[in-house]
Amino acid sequence: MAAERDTRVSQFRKGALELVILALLDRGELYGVEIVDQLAERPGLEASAGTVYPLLSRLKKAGVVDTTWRESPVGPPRKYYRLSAAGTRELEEMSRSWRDIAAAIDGVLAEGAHDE
Amino acid sequence: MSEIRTIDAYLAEVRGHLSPLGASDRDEALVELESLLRADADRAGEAAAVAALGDPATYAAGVLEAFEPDEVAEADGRPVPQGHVLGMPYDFRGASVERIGSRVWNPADPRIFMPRMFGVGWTINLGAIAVTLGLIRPDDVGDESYDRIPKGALNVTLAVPAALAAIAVVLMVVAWPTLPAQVPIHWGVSGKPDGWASRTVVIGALLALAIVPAALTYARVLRRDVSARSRLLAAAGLGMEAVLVLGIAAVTVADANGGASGNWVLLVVLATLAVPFLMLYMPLRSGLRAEWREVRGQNGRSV
Repeated sequence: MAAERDTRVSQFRKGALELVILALLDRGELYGVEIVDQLAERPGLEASAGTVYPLLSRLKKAGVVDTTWRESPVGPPRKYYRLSAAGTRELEEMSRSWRDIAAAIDGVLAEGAHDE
Repeated sequence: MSEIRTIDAYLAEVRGHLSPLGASDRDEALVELESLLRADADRAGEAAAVAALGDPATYAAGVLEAFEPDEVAEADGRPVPQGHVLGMPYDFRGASVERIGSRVWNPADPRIFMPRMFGVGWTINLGAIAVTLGLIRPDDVGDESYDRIPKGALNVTLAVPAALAAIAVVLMVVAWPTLPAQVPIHWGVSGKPDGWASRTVVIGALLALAIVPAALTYARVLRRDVSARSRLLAAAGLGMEAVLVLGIAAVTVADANGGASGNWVLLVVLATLAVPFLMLYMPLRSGLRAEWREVRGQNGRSV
């Protein structure tokens, strides 16, 4: 049962991860490891580097995020990600859709609770 | 378009629209559709069953959409095999630059074993190996990095497969008189040959494998409008193939002259990984260094 629940949670999370990353970047630019770390700090939103990096690369290709190299105190320069203008619009639209669907689902769940 | 009245005609029409799908997905979708139609035809008649499904193009579009996650995944750089057999992925669609980019060199994806580009089994993701070895970070190499590769480094890399193929051809031509009529084509785990074929067939096939893919690839990627990324990825794919041909030719020749052993075979396997790895990593490292040099000059540069 626990395994089944995990799969369900991961299905939900997969779709939401893009929105979460855009929201994190909306507060300021981050480099790859910081994004993975910030997700890890939020229970339920942890995602492996193997999930995050391909997603970042897709967002970059789609023009939703821009990248900038910046000097790092240790090692070679780091690639920082930030929202592009299109990314800011995408974030607005995605958060609106997210709230709409969350409200709609909450509504259905509440109806179910009354029926019982 | 005339009205479709038979199940076979409808299936043929849908099949035509499903060409973007892999063969196994397409067949699966068609088998499902056929059983649906036949069941319906038993109840309502063939023409009514076909009419109920509507325009075959629209139906096919729905099927394509159902299979879309794979297509989207492939576009995102997450490789999707054509299908699975005995739990192993297979793919007979041929190596495109995008497939090389998503499987052989995909640093963002940590999986080392990727669905194979062509044939059955897995391909090694050299990008993941570079990340594992700590040579690069998963997101260091971007599309811009390819454009920053110095011209000289790119040209040298592009010449590698041609050089390997040329060495293979010279080796086979020179060694031809020393070869017996039957040469080994398969070796057991101990390194002892356990399969033989005529030298004309073996050397003929190896010569074709040395020349034909190289000629086709160079004709495609040396055109003016081809990007540095496409050139490098195609050259690395060709390099892997060329080193394999050279390796097989060398083992065949050495074996006929009494010199091949199990170590040779291991060496060839390692070389098929090492050569494309260096062909990708060395020029991309120069490209990255060029990007980094500019950051060190300024305070940050958009890429």
